[in-house]
Amino acid sequence: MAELTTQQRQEISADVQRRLSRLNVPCGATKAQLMDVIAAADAYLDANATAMNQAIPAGARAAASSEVKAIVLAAVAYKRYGGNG
Amino acid sequence: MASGDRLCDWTALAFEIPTSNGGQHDVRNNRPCVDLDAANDESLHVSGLMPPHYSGGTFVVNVTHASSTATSGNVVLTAEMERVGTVLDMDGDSFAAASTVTTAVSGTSGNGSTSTIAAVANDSVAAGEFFRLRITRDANNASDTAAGDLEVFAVELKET
Repeated sequence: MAELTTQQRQEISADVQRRLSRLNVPCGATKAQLMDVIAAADAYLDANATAMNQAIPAGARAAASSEVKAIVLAAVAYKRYGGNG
Repeated sequence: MASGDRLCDWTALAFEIPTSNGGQHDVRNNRPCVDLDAANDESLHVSGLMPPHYSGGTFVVNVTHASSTATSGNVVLTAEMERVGTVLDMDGDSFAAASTVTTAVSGTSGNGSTSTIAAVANDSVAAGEFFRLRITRDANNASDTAAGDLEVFAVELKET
């Protein structure tokens, strides 16, 4: 799977900004800097997708769809580094 | 009428939300505001009767706001006057040319800032006439760099 398009990254940026706004989470990054974060995260996921998938135990890896894995990955990342639940 | 005197002021519960590209009413710690998006240009309107002491000059518009999330960057706001009186078909819009200002957001989350938009065209509105003022966040302007919503709490109209 190729990296996301600029349009897709802009959609993510808008969603992220609306989520931050709803939560009143202080954000020191500008819109351009947020786009840089999104681009870097997307490039990282693109480069490491196989390794990330291999890290999932075989049974779950076979049973879960890509969407399920993506939701779990996002939830784990948010729990570890961001929200309180 | 002295230059710089206040003509009208509005807080968020008096803000009108356009059906197209309008902001959203919200509260922050029980304080009413209207959120203007960071990705799409969004507006709010305020309406009123021009006070009898207005002497026909241009306007200064002060917009009190805070950022929902940003603690760095700038926001770009525009103000446009629309004379209604008895000359405008209210089925359509007829705003005068926009005036613009770029303002740095507060570096402290929750603190407010005021954007002062100077020399706003008066659209030939006269004392006693009904008018409308449109405030827009020009979110796709390259100078609008602050992330997240802009919360607008109050608008003040003064004569230049």
